[in-house]
Amino acid sequence: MKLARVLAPMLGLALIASAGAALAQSTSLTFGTWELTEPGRGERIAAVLDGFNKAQDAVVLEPINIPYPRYAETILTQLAAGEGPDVFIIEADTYFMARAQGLLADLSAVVDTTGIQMAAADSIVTGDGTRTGIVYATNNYGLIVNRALLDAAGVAVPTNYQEFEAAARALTTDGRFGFAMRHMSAEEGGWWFDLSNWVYGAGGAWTDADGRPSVNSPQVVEGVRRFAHFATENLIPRGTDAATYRRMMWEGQVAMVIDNGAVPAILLSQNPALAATLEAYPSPFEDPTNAQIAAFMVVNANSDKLDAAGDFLEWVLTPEVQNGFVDAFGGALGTGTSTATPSEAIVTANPWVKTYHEIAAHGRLIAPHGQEGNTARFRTEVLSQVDRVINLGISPQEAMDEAQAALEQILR
Amino acid sequence: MTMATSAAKSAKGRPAHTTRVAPARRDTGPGLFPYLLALPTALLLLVLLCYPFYEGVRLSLTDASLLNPRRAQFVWFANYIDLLGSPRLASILRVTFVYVVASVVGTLALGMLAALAMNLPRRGRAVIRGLIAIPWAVPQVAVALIFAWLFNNQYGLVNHLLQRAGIIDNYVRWLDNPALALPALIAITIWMTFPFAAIVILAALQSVDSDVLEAASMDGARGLSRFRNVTLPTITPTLITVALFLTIWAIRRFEIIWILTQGGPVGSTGTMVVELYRTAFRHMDLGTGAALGTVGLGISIVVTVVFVALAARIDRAHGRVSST
Repeated sequence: MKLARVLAPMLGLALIASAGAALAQSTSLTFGTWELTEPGRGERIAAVLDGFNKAQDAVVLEPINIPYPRYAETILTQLAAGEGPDVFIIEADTYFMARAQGLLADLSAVVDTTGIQMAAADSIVTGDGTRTGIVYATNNYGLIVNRALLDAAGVAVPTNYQEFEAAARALTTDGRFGFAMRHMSAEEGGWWFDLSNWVYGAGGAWTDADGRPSVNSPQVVEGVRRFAHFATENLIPRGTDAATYRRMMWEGQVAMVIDNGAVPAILLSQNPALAATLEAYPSPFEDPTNAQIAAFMVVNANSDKLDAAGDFLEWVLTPEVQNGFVDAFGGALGTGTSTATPSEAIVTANPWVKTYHEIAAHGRLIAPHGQEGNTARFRTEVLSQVDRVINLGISPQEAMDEAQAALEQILR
Repeated sequence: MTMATSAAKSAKGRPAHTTRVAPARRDTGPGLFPYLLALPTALLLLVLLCYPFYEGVRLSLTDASLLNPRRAQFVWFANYIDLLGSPRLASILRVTFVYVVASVVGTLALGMLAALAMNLPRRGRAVIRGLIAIPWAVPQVAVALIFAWLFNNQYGLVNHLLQRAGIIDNYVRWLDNPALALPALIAITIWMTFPFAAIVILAALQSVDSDVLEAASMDGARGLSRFRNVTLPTITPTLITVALFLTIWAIRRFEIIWILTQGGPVGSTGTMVVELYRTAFRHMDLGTGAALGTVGLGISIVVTVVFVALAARIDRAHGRVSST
């Protein structure tokens, strides 16, 4: 007994010391993202990421969650100060700004993609023999409808703008709305995504082939006119943010939205009964081009753990992890490889998943071609003018001419 | 050394005692010691105030980008010239002026009414004072989120109550209507800041000499007359100080405006601070953002000088030594 009383604490100390030694030998890799607190999705993504820690002992992945509304500014400020997470997720417009300033590490020597069929968007992060990231997720925009509401009103799923406008009008009655979209300065980022769909759908683009602003082209003006028309005709719940109108949709108060592939999963998680009636289609515009949100997994140029980061990224590109991410995202998003597919269970339970994979072929980044690093400027100038069209009745042509002049002045 | 000699000889002829008296010293002042005591505080102020001020002005003279501030080049006054030539500057200054004046005047008015009410002798006065302080104690971000829901078009309590009362038929767009967004923000600001004004004014009210009030009552002064002729002149210095604080805070206010409207719709709530944030942290243009900040600082300094001069003038008029 006396011997046990002496040996037990010594054994305990030895165990603690060895655990500490093991911990000290492993490398800590910080991982920045905004998704881990999103209801439902956050837990699934965290579970996938945790697989890396379980698969090996040398590197410990430590996720850091920053709320989405402040994510870009927070990350860029940290990077500029020589700080920030080792590895992090970054959206396309922020990616281009960070890359232009040399804030992202060159991964050519630490990430080997030989034999891997990379996604089409991978071309964005490679060039001139360098690789500055891998594709984390691509997300496209399509028309999501509550079929039961359309059937009750005797309205068919619209396939062009005229049918779309008529359907929205017919469905806006008795406190319900035919459509909903972001249209306020308090949601500037999301508003830009939504407006881009209307502009692309009308055949427009924010810049021409040479990367010069083209926001007052006839096609862009038509897209803006249509967008503003829905707002001024009150076919949408005016003054309602995305969180509120998504809630209205899962409560059956909104019939249609044009939204990204992650949204159906959000709606269904709040109202599983919608599974029988929620459907997805390509956007109801002449041009099938839709807005594509691309997010990349990149490495901080300030990080001294390039090898560990490379190991992590190569693990992410393995088929099991890629399929895991597709399922974690809800099944409708693309990932870093073109071979990643959602599980049969998800496809069976969510038929709309196939639609989003089909429309991905027509996706275009919301960052203006050739001016990707100036997306924020485009957004401010264009949306401030669209705001005037909606709230002050300014003509779309006049408004877009002013935006064009402002952008030409800024980018001279 | 002077010596005072007592010439009294003892009967036995012993020598007289002499008392040495230290000569008067020349006064050389306190020396360096007080300055040494103040040195740590002075250094702290230098680091925390002067350096950031210097850095802000220096940045405003460069083309610094948030993404790589070390690569900044001096462009001297180009940022200020661009700012003055911007078509948005007039709107930004106008919105800032309206927001500041309306929120300060509203806060002082409501704060005065609350202070007068709290000054009346009644039961439960302490509880009322505690309840009035609640809006001041709530963090600004929490206030913004609460009012975002209260003013929500479809689900907000404000529209619901107004519709139930029959005042409106359809929901009012409080925060996305250019005509209503700024008044809504001003109302929220007044709600948030009036407790501070009320508590400070209450303290001033309680410093009014009761004998003077009684004498005024005996002379026939009642209610408003007594307030205007006795109470108000006494608490005026406090009102000016409170107004100065409220003005500076209003010029600097950011959270509730950014969270609720981000300066929209159509720039109707776009104050100087909101535009500064958008320029520096959305457009990554630190140079122009710093220039906006320097302009805002200049305005704050002018406002402070005006208030101090006004307070001194009023004090002189009442024969008081200036307290500001």
